[in-house]
Amino acid sequence: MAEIKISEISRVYGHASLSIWLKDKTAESVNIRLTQPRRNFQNLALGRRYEEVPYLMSRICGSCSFSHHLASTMAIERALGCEEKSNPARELSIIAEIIHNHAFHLYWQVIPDYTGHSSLLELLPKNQKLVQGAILLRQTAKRIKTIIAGRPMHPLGHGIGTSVQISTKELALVKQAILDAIEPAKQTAEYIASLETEFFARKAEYMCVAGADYPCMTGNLISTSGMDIPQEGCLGAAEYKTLMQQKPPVVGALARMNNRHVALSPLARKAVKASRVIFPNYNPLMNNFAQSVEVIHLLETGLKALERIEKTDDSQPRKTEGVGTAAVESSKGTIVHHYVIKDGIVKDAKVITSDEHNIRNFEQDALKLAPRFLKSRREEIVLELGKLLRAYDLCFNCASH
Amino acid sequence: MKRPKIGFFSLSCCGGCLMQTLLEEESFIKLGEIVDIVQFRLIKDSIPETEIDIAVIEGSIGSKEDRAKAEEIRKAAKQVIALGACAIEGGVQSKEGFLPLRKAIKIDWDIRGCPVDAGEFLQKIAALLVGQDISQRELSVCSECREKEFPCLINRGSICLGFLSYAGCGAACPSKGTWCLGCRGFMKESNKGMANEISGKNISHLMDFFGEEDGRD
Repeated sequence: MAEIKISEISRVYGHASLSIWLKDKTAESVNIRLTQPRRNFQNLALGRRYEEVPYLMSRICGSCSFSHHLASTMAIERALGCEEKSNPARELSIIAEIIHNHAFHLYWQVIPDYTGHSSLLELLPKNQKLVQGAILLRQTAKRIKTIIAGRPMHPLGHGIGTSVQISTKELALVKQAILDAIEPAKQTAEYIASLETEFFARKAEYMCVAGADYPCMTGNLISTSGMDIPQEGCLGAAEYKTLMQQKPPVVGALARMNNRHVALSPLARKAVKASRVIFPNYNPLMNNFAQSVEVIHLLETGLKALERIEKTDDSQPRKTEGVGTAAVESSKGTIVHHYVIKDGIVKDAKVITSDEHNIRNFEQDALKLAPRFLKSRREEIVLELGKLLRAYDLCFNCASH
Repeated sequence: MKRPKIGFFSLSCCGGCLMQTLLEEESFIKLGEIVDIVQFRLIKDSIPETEIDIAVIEGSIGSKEDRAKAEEIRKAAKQVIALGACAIEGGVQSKEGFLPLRKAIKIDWDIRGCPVDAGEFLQKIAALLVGQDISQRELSVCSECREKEFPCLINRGSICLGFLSYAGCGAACPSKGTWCLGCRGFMKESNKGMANEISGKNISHLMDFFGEEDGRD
């Protein structure tokens, strides 16, 4: 069998290689291999005091550090019986991280595929306005993260049971930053919708965490085929286990849109309507557009979350042992953290990242898409599969946890 | 004048430090106007270069491949910067056998932190381009806490490793009331032997949170 191999995929997070195996000029299999050794965070958590664990777990991934930190915090809070209450500051920090990552992904990683440049730096002299928009979006997200969590990566101050206090002055800064970003967000969605996207579809299963709003940190795990289970204990739930074994669901922006597009904010809804894209949508390449719509939606949702921020008391742990699970939406999809704690010490830890759902789906889609390009030059095949791979927004840093 | 060539490389880690270098996008773009960014896989397709002026490497050594890659970069680069706690101390994963970069290759400069600070990175790169010494100053996080008048974590009964650790972070963690775990590594002259007595708590088990206690040979 002949092999087409990309030994280090570029414009993605982390390290992986991609191989397409060809037999008699048809694609036999597509395979992603992580080229970064596992760092074994599940092991690293064992024997640690529970307070230390979120600060460890955020280090799973530089781009999803807020999501991992909060999934870890919330799972431990559940295990130790902290009172659960609405926490708009935490919501806002997840919102900021998703915007930060989507803008990075779309501009630095995706757009060069469609403009034929090796990087955004090359595109810059030709389209200053576009790049300025990217910078503004990223600066807004960075500013919110820094105000709420002290810095834009590996958050501070989101400890077990604590509520983040934000001053009125800071709230005003966050509000202004969000308002400044709405126009560039609209432009981004328009631009992404205008990219020529290959028509392709596979009716996969799409899963996300969703409560009354979108996206949510406390709702059930739901899927397009009707799964609807509480996140506590989800790892042991028969429905989830069967799904993971038989048909690992796609997670991420497109999954959230496919499940919850009815809950979109007014401006996001407008952007969808103008694009004439219909949701649910089973073209994985539309994840890029879904991300750009989410950015608008999250900015508007962020404004609402700001209004709900108020001074609340900390809710201290009521016991020193227990079992807790939390599922959180990161920019790249659902992540689940699960801990068993005894005498304040972590005895067992389990982490599921978005890639555990998405890598297999990418491989299936790539196998289906590959025949369209097999007669082309190697560069063409690499480009087209690269577009699909980047649309999935895979994160090999998370995957090597 | 020939434009200096800078390469950005990643080994085993969370990938965050290289993302931090891109955080101040406007400044990063300006950097791209005065140097050739010959390699930066996170944001750029590129072919390996055989001659690089400055190589910036994040991450620890976790496999034979990591080691080979580090050696190859060292061969091509005139100067090598170890970027962040994983490259300098091995990082949080060092308990699983991951090693700091200097166990595999010679390092010329450190830029510390978990993650590194975007502003500090840009300042140090700019300084290095005009031939300045960018060594870390022997100052502890206490100096920054005092300067900014943050309440002392140790006095409040909280865990703090800042009195052992290199400054430069602006005392980010204490500013939010979060433990300082010493992500920038411990100073050469720090009083590690008395750490438990000074902090009034047993903090021995936290001294290797980011890897080896001492970032330097």
